[in-house]
Amino acid sequence: MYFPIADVTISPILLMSVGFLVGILGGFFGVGGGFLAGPMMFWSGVPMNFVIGTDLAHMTGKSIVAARRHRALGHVDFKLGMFMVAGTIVGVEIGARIIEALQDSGAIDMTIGVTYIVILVIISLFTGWESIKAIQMVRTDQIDVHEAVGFKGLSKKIRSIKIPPMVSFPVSGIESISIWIVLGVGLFTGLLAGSLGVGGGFIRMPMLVYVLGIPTHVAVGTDLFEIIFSSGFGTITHGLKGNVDILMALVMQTGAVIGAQIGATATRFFAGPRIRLAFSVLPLIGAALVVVRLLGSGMMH
Amino acid sequence: MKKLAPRVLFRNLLIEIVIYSILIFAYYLVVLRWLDDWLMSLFQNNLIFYTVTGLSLIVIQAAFLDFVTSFILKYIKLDQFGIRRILDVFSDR
Repeated sequence: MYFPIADVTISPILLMSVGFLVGILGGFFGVGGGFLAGPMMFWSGVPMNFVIGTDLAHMTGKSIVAARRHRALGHVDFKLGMFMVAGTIVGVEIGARIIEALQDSGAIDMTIGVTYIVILVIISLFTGWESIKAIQMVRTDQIDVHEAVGFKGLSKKIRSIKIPPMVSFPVSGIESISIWIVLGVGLFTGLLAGSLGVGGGFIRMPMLVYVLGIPTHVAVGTDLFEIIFSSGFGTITHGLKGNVDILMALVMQTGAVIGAQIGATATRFFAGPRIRLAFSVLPLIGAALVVVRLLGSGMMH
Repeated sequence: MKKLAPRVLFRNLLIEIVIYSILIFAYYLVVLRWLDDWLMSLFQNNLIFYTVTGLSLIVIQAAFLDFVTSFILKYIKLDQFGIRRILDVFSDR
């Protein structure tokens, strides 16, 4: 099929399949899936300037469907999501400006790439270690698998900070937390997302679990709810620069919708530690893809 | 009964994917392949309108496809399909 806006011919079945795959991952783990869809689109022949914008556009639609399914399962904290959105959007803007300011310094790709790899590897190792510990706790201490978190120290300390105004998030099981902490987490993940050029689901989902201390399923659903706004905002920004092929995004979305529903529904059958253990592999894939990209650009130079 | 739920769900999803693929193919033939000229002219003439229209199309399509998939699961009685018997051969019930 010929896509005149991006001026490229790609099989719609391939695009639907890519959408389907990242849809499953998105629905199950609460990530946008840009780390995987981006390289796959690029290797399929989509021009680089259209990859990010088009991916964000399809992500918006996919997240709507996945978040709706998670809402039906009681996994979305809308109030928390809205607070996080506010922090994230400000963070993304700051991150994007930092990048603009750093662009004159030269080796920005390498700096960002290495930072990204380090962060992803840390997240992966930490989430893997914690989830294995949680699974062992379930076996040895006979605790409820839904409450099993191998690392609760940080969220306890965070919740003990009493800077007014304090807010409660009953859906997430948070009786009282400083609003500044929630906005700060949103700002921080937005900052990383904006400066690293990624959606941020990788970073946000673990932060929701370990920093705010909310259940994994609610973290996944709330993250997807937030992605609707952050990727929608990104679609507008990139669309105005002429970097979005809507037709391509619509074709990808047809596969992503069914994948997102499958992924979201599948979370019903896995406890939090198992989801986090499976999640811990994803950042490593993302890091490996960045290594490939950096090596590729190094060879070109 | 609860133990069977994942298998039943998986089976229903499998049928859903098959039905959905047929519907999507029809949707692609009837709608998507005819949008290219219109979207291209919007892209060339008014980028703001193109962006707003594009995002609206994404949201509308998401709502539509969500409705279709929910409809397939809820209102088409999958359990009455003869295919259930075929799939039951592969189940361990």
